[in-house]
Amino acid sequence: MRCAGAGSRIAGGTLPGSVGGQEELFMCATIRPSIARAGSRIAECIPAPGGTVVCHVHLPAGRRAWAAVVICSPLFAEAAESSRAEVLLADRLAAGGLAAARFDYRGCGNSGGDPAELTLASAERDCFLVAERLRTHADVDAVGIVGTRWGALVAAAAAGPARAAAIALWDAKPDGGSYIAELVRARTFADLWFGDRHPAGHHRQQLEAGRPLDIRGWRVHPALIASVRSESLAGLLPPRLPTRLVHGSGRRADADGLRADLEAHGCPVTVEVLPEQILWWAGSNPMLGPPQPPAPLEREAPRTAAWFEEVLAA
Amino acid sequence: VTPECPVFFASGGNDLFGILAHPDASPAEDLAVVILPEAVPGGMGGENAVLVRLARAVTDLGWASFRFDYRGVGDSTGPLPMLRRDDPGLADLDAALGWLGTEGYRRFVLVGSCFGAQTALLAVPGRPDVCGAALLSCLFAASDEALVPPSPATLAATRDAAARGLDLLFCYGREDPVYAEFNAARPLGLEDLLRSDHVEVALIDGEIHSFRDVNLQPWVIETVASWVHGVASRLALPTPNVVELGA
Repeated sequence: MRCAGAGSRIAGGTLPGSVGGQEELFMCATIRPSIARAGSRIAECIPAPGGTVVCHVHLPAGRRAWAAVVICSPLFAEAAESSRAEVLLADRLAAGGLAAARFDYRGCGNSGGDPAELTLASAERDCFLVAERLRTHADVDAVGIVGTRWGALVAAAAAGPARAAAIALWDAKPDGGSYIAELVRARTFADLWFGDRHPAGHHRQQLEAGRPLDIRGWRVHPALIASVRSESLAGLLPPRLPTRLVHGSGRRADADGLRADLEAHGCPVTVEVLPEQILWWAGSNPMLGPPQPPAPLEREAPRTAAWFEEVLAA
Repeated sequence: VTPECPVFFASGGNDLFGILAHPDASPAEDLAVVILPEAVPGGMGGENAVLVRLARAVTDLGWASFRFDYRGVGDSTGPLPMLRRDDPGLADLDAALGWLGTEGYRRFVLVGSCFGAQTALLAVPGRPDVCGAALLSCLFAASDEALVPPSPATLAATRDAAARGLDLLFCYGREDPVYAEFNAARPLGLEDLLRSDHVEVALIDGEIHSFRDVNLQPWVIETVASWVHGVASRLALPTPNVVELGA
């Protein structure tokens, strides 16, 4: 009928050097990607083990791309908060002649898969898969990666396998442990707001005991926590990779710490600390109420795009 | 697993993104369940993907589902819109139903949450091809500022649906702020309409607006999917051939 899912077999592949080691990327790829096009935009359901990866490609209009950038989103409410900035970044990259891809990890958004099985390794495989599809669509080899919040860990993990030439990290935490601590803090603030009382350290203990943590309608599963607990950005990132760090105000310590870690790793680092805070869990809905100025990362998007143009051209 | 197909369709100079899933053996090939998201920049994948999960639950029960992002939202193109209660994106819903019409769909059951419920309900008077609507946390007040008066357009749409014998489901958490709007509208013209056999009201303790309680999300999905299944099953029944004898 209208939904032509079954089709010709596509080539299988493997993901070298993944967090989980050498793993088969396609187990039984008998379903071809289903694709929709609108102008220079492509939407695609890419088959992968356990569910499809929904990916959106932005191509330069009326000309060939000369490089490409994969965008790794954050999770939970943070994904909703950054979605507009990511669209603007992709559009701005395409305007500069670079192809860009946004995607939902398996277990998130419109992609298939079980949210309880989302891990750093599964997201890294999704990023690699999208990078390869992006190379095919854009017919380029040079690829950069952007990662925001948890997506920064994904971007760092995938940078090696995806042969990334540059990486930009938006409001990244230096390691998985500090990211988890912020999730716990977001839940604690929600408890205070709604009058829920729990003993000090309760949510952290629940996570450590392998129980899920619910934050304002989002469920954080134990597998995700276990997969990032001992990971660090500097440990995941390939050495000597040009890196742009962007942080909201109030996160200077993260910026300074990461800069030191990555420079010790041989990465040339540029740092931008924005004049505003980024409210990941407490932002207001810009579609309701009086018009609001663009969010901090929406203003950052053109600067990050310009940085990729400069670095990837070199 | 039913394959999900990405699509783009045009609306007001923008390309709207949607996902269609059509089971192999749907009992009603011309029927689609159209799911409308809340007014959030992340679009249909936001809010813990509750509406994505709902769409899949509907498809698992054998019915075609279609979900999409309003213009400027999620993966659709265009500038971010400012949405108002009296301007709930009807043009985008019309474009979606128009595109589905080109794919052979002739009858629609609408499912919307909050702003999406407003869109679904206000579409009823102008769309004879809408056969039912499940309305989660539907807004009833005329403005954000006060519970009353109810919106004349919303009351008129409910009256139109009742007059047509359309199946309607209103779904609220008892602590939803918008449930107070619904209750405030009852003595001002809504109560009579709720007495129709075709109208159901499903309530649960707590808040379902914006799906902020993970533990209530399964109730929302099961309640709506089950209601949709009942409505769609009735619509799928063959029309009996009536032969008048002994005239």
